[in-house]
Amino acid sequence: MALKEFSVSAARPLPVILLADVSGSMSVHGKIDALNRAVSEMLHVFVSEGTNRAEIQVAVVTFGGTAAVHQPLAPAREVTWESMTASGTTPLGAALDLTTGMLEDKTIVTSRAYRPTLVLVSDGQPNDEWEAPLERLLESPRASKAFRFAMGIGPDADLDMLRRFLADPEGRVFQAEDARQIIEFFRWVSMSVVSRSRSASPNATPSNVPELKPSVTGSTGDLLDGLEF
Amino acid sequence: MGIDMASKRVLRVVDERGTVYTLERKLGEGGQGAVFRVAGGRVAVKLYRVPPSAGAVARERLSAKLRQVRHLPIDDLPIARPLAMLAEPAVGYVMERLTGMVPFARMTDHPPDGVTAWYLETGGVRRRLSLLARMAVALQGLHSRGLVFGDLSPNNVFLSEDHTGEEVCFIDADNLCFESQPSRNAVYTPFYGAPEVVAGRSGVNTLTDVHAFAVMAFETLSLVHPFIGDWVSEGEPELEEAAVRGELPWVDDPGDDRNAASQGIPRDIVVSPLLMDLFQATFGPGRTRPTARPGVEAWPERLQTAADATVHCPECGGTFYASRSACPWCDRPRPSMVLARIRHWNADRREFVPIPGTRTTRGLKRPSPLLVVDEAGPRPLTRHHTHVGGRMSREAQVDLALVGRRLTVRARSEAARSWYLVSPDGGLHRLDTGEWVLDVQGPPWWDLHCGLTQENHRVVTFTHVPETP
Ligand SMILES: Nc1ncnc2c1ncn2[C@@H]1O[C@H](COP(=O)(O)OP(=O)(O)O)[C@@H](O)[C@H]1O
Ligand SMILES: [Zn+2]
Repeated sequence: MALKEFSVSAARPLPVILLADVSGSMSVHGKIDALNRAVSEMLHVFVSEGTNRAEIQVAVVTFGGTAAVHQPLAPAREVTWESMTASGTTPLGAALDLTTGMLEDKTIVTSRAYRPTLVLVSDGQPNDEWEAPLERLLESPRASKAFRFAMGIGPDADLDMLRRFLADPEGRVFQAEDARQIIEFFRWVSMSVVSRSRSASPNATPSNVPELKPSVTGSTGDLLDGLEF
Repeated sequence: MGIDMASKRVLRVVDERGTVYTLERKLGEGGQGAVFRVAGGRVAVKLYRVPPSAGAVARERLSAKLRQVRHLPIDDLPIARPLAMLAEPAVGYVMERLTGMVPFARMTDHPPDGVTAWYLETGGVRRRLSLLARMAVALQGLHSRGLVFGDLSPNNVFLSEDHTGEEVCFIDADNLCFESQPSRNAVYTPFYGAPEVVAGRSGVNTLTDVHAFAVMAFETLSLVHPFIGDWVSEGEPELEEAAVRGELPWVDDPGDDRNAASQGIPRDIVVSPLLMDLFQATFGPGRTRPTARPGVEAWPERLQTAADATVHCPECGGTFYASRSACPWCDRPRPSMVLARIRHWNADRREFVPIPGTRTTRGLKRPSPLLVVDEAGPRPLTRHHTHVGGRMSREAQVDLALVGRRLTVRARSEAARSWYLVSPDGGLHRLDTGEWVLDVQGPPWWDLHCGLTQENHRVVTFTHVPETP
């Protein structure tokens, strides 16, 4: 017995691109391990919270020594996560250009896609020419519309650069002091993306994401995640 | 203290009467807060996510709402009932926990491929229609009491987890509101909010409920959102925003095919013609003019009648409208079946008349009650079939089962025992408590009279239809 097949419309892509600093300094204090754990947890959330209207896709661009596409843009459920390793300098400019190129390539991010989310994570100062690449990113049609998140890890993070990446007077750079906060930042990003994937217009700014309060979410365990009293 | 956060993983809350609840596990999380399972009981707790500064106001509002809900005449409706308010500082309430039930989203969240097998496994057309009929009856129960559900969506309706079960139950009773107190409340679930709510022109009311219901019904049956055809689906996301605000034609608009959907299950397979009329009225004119939407009372009968008109395929296990000569899922010819057609006996004129074509207030046709009986298992005649103006009810009056050309008839209700069968040769047989095995070869056919000759009553005629050659 052969069943007739009917096709159903494919979910709309919702791209999330992570720009991760994997320079040598990330290898100390367990930073890179926390980052790897956080990203793999985020992927897990994206897979389990997927809907058939929005398909969350993930790409990871790393910069440590050289800028590289560590994970090409792919649906979260198809990603087999390979840990990142930390070494070398901090070529942010090259990573920004890679990202702009990826976003503007319609064969990678199709015109059906919802507005992308960009996440920049760094623990230090860029050491290549990054201002012009950042300008290019912020001026490119799609990257300029992207939702942007930024996290500075540790005391040496270049907060000014991260703020310029957000390019939003209301935007807040998240500062992580330890591994736990790195993980929390990614939970916040995941929640925001998931909430957007379920919203009336996944293209619009999420409204239901509670403000991040590390002291509350961090201390009371799973039961209270995301709740405030 | 209402919340005891001393221990890392255990959270306790106390209700207004001092009962302590240990929250075990988060069942789910929504826009307003989270719902927890309570240890050792059939209750759940909903905790609102409210900043401490707004706690007092939120608690007062919720408590007023719950007092109201607790006094509503809804005891006969399937809604997870709120049982108690939580004490300060928590904002939330205790409610019945649904067990053996899952969100309705199970019927709309299709897998990316293998859709047909999944559709049949989850109950096919017949179960979908029956579940939707149940839901329509429940919604009608609310609307007829002047209540609005508010945020109807596949997440706020639960259904039997078992793929053969046909129970439905609403959750989120705290969103209920009165039709008479026009609400500016515009809490809605993405893709189910009515265009006027999404566009911010209106709060929720019975017509926005009916829009949400119709979207769920259309999606459950066809796996396509009524506003998301190929035009929207292949276009940029901004087009989708316009679509949910009701600015583009719907997928089956007979006069405008710009947004037609090539995806999903073809409507002629899953949507009966009378249901199509309701969808057209709701998503065509009703898209921009809410008052053009048929009220919820138009739905139960048409959904139930559509479910009653389906036949089971012995090859693939799917169900399909018996008007088709072959199974649309696997092409097997339609199996043999008995069609129970229903007429009316007019005692004064002493003649059969077709069921009077009554019209509802909005001028909509009422379907003719009928029931298809196939060899897959017994099917019930209910009040809806056997009584004039019979309400939708699930209780069987008579069970019918078919094996080969033999139809077994058995009274299930007290009343049905006094009904009688008329054989092809004109003999009368009181149903009584026994089991009647009829050879349904005709014409003439066997009739079941649901009443006595001197009174007006319904008459069921059993017509045998052999397998499609
Ligand atoms: N009475 C209940 N019994 C079992 N599960 C429930 C019950 N009420 C809610 N849930 C679960 O909790 C989830 C969130 O509840 P919901 O009331 O929808 O929150 P919100 O209104 O904030 O969206 C639901 O999707 C459901 O899975
Ligand atoms: Zn079949």
